Amino acid sequence: MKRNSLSLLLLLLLLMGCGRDLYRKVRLELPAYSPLHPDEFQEVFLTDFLIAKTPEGFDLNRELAAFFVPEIERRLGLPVNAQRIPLENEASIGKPDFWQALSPGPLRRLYVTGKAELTRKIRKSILGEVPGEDPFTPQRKVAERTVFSLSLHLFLIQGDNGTVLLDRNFKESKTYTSPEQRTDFAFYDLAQRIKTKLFRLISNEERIQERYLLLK
Amino acid sequence: MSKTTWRGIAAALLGIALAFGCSGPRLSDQVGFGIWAANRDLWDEAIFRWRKVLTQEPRSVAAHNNLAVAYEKKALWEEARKEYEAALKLDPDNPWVKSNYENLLNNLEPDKKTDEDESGKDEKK
Repeated sequence: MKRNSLSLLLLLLLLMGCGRDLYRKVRLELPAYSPLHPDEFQEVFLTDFLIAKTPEGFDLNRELAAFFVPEIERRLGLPVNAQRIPLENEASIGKPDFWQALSPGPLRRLYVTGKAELTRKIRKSILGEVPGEDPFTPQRKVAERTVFSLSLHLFLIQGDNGTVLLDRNFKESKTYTSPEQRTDFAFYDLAQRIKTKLFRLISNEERIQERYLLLK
Repeated sequence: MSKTTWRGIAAALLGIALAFGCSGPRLSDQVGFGIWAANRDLWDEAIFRWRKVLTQEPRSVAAHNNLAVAYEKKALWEEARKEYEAALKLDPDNPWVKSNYENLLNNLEPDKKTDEDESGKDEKK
C-alpha cells in the first residue's frame, strides 16, 4: 500500500512538471503583404482594357475609367492620367518592352490594365404552381430574373521595367428581379465589390491573425 | 529509518527534481522575457531577447519561431520566412511552427489567383 502511494506521488509530480503548455496561442494585428508600394511611383496610367463582351450600347472601357480613376487617386494618393492608352492585344501585357517604351520620362509610372467582360442574361425561375383556367390542371408560375456578371483580369505593371506587380482575376455576379434592370446601375454594384477586394489586396491594412509562440 | 522509508524519500526527491526539470521556462529566462514583452506589444524588446537566445543557443526552435512571428508583426517578410525555415529545419514536425509558416505563405501567396463571387442574390424591391 505504501509503495503504491509513493508511486502515485511520483507520477503526480512528474505530470505536474511535464504537463505544462509548450506554446501560447496569440491573436495579433499583422500587416498585410502588398506587392504594391505607392510611394515608389509618381503617376498612374489607366490603359484601355481588352473587352471580351459587353451589352450593346454600353462603353465598358469608359465606365471602368470613370469608376476606377477617382478610386485609385483617393486610395493610392497618386494622380491618374486620364489619357487612355490603347491596348492592341493580350500579348502586349506580358511584354516588358511595350511598357518601357511607354515610359520614356523620369517619372515612375504605374500602369493599370487588363481584360474585362460584362454580360447580361435573362434567367427564368419557376416559382411554383398556381391554379389555371382549368382548376384541375395547375400551371407553373415563371418569373424572369436579370443576371449581370462582371469579370476583370487586372494587371498592375511597373512602367520602367515592365514588371507585373499584380495579376489577378475578379468576377462578381448579381441577380435582379427586374428584367428591365439598367446596365449602368448593375455595373456600379459589381464594380464596387471588385473595388473592395482589389484595394484590400494592395493596401497594407492590418488584419487579426493567430500565431503560436513557443515557450521552450 | 527502514529501507522502505528511505526509498520513499528518494522517490519523492526524484519526483520533485523531475517536476522542476520538466517544467516550462521561468519568465526570468530570455524566451519567456521575450513573450512577456510581446504580450505588451514591445516587439523590439522581444526581438532583442530572442536574438540573444540564438547567440547562446542557435538551435533553439522556440527562439527562431518567436523571432519569425515578431518579424511578421514588423512586416519584415523575408526575415520572418528565414526564421520559420530555420525552425522547421531543426524540428520539421513541429505543428505550431508549421501552422505559423503556412499562414505566412498564405499572406505572401502568388499574385495569380481568382477572386470569384457568384452572389446570385435577388434584389429586393
